[in-house]
Amino acid sequence: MPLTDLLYKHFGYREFRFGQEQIISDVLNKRDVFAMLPTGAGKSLCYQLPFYAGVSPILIVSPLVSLMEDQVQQLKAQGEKRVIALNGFLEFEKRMDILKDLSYYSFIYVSPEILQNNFVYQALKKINIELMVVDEAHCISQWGHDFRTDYLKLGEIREAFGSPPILALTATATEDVRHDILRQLNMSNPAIHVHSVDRPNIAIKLEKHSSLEAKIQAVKEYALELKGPGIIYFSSRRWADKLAKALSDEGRECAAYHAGMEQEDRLLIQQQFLNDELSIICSTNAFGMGINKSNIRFVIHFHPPSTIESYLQEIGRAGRDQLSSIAIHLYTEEDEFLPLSFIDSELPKEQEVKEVLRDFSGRVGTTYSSFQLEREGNRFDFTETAWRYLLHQLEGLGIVQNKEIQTFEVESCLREILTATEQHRKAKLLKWFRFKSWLEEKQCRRKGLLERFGESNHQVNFCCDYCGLNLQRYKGSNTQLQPTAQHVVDWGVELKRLLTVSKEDHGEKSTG
Amino acid sequence: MQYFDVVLLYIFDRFKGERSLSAVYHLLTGKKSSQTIQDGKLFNIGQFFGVLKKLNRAKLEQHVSSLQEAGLIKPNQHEGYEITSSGREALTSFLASNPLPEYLAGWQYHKVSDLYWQRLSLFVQSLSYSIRGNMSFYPISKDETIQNWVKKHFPMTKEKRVTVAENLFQEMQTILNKLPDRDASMFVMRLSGIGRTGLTISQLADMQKISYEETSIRLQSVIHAILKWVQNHSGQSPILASMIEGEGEELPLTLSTKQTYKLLESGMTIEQIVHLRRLKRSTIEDHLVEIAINVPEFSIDAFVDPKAQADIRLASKEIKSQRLKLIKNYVKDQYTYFEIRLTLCKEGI
Repeated sequence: MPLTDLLYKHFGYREFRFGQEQIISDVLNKRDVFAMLPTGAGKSLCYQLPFYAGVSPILIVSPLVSLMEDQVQQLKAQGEKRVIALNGFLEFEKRMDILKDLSYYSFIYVSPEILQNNFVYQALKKINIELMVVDEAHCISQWGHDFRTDYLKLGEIREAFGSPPILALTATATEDVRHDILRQLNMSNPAIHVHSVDRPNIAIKLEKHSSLEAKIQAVKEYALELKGPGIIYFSSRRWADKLAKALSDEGRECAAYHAGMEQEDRLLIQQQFLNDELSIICSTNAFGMGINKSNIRFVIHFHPPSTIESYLQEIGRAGRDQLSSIAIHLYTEEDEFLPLSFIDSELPKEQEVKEVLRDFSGRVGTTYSSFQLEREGNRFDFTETAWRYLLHQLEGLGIVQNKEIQTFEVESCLREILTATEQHRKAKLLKWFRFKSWLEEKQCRRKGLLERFGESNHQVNFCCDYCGLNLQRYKGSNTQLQPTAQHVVDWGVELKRLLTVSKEDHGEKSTG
Repeated sequence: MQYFDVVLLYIFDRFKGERSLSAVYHLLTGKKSSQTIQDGKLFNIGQFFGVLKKLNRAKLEQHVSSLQEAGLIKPNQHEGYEITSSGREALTSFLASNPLPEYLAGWQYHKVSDLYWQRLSLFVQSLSYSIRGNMSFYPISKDETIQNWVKKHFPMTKEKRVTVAENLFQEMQTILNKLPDRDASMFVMRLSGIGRTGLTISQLADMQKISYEETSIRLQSVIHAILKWVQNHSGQSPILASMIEGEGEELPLTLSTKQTYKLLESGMTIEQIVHLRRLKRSTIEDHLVEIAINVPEFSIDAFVDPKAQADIRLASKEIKSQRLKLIKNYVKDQYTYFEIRLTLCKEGI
């Protein structure tokens, strides 16, 4: 069956987008493929469609549990039953049951961490994987914006699984990150598909303020005036909560979203947003990955992201319906320090490294499960990212081998780890300075962004504040600010509405 | 005074200064340790077990220090706090106008209430959409076991769905009618269905102008009330009753304790179990205490001589305390801590 027929039959689309077709034919020809597609361009289709052309089972390595779950839900909604996600949240017994029957599944989603689990690894080794997909492949590179150490082991794992063809997918990767990905995954003679990161329907506005107060004033005004739905990004939970409260008080349907909230409440907020019951989300960067909402009209950054790639990914959540949208970045001089402290929080400090090394040197021979090892950082009050980083160093130096602590010399190892950490910190700083320099340039914003990805400028109509922008175009109507009448309703009436079919629904004439 | 402060005063009052702040924290967050389980039973505050699972320690300490500054509690030598007379006054007057939710039963239902809520809310959501012929919605629970359960029990035809939905509405209305209007209203607004997604705890709290903690505790009390009603009147609420199915029989023991229980039932002694499981004796003793609390038919006579049990009970009554150390002194060190703990728990003084 021609690819376009499969596309229509299983996904309901008549046409491919953004070079999907070329990518898929390369995958079907069993080539290693590297594909960079802009956010919202339908990356998952590039490995889902090959299944309908006979490629199975497909292993998908994905960095985020929520992302994985969304994909699984989506495939199931398409009627595909043989889908499974293996991650640390699965109960042990259930996981063992699944592993026994692993050959039943066609789509197997895994986190890079779970691949380190011996049971999972052995079970995957036994089935004949026909395609290995590495989603968010930029995570493999130290230069990528959310580097994950377990991604580095994927090259080896691929070989152990009989070297199936690989499909590396990412939305944002600069030249050096791309090279890193190809190298780390040992991709041979890969087909490379790089599409522009430009999103022509998103206008870009940079706006510098002299004080925090002025910036707060500005974000409020934008949030009240711009046409929703929209997302406002903050660097901390506290700020997200504070602004969400302030905007609700002004009558805009608004809620905060961050990792400090209960799982159930997070899901409710997501769904309220998806169902257009909320017009603005005030969020930390926890929100967005895997959110498939096509009509987001604006993204505002109240705090800066730490890299240009994160920036593109975050503004890329706007305008997936290809309609006109806007990204506004608000900043002050002081904002510079935020990413600096963020970078520090993601790396272990000298004292902390010392403490861990001393502790480990006193417990040579201790063995861990991967689960325990992942959480061992809690004992030393490490942030998750900092612990992952240190663990990677410990394994690299052979201090931890096969999850067992080996004998080692504390002083020399300490020096090596500190040197590596310092280098890593500098690399991160460079990334931040690259973003920051963009803010200060006196030229077209789009041109500046694209240059940083080695692309030349794309001329678009509603471009940026440098080229000239009419904000009126992005404003909503005056009616969006009706302070909603209190939600308090008669619960009996509401319960009845939820669970009974009224006469009107049967097509009878309403009497009242 | 915030609602959370009232809850703390209530717990401090019941603990009589005999437990540390950690014990309060473990109780509210629902730590499944034998000590916490035992505390809930001994001091008769099991209803609060696990009602604020996400509470952070710093917040607890903050509230405790402001209660202390206000002179409502005072620290004592057991690293715990005692309620002061003005604290007791404040507590009594608050509870007179705003009693704690009558049906709150954290310990009794902590195993089933989350699961029950998830099944019920997904079932309601699915019915609400399907009776209007709309089956494309984002399920409110991503948990596959919940989704599978709902799928398995979902009526097949549209006619049946309409009937089941109507009956479920009646069943829920009957129970909710017995509860404070505000609690029923929050519960219904937390449900999702066609035309409206459920509200978060914060949104409900804003709507009712009460605190997050109060909202969270009140919502749980509604679930507990439903569970209690359904257990006693399953004939009158067959649909709600069916959602407990498969969970009721299981004993609320921690996994490790279950293994110990199995070995005990097979006739092994404590020493044999210690040896076989390579655990410390004290750990196995903790397991026994947990079993004594949760398994009514479990007899402790094999571990504590009946005469010893009588002495210990008497001692506790005489000195009006559940403090193990005091009792041990009173019985002149005749019995071990383990024997005293086990006896107190079995009796639930």
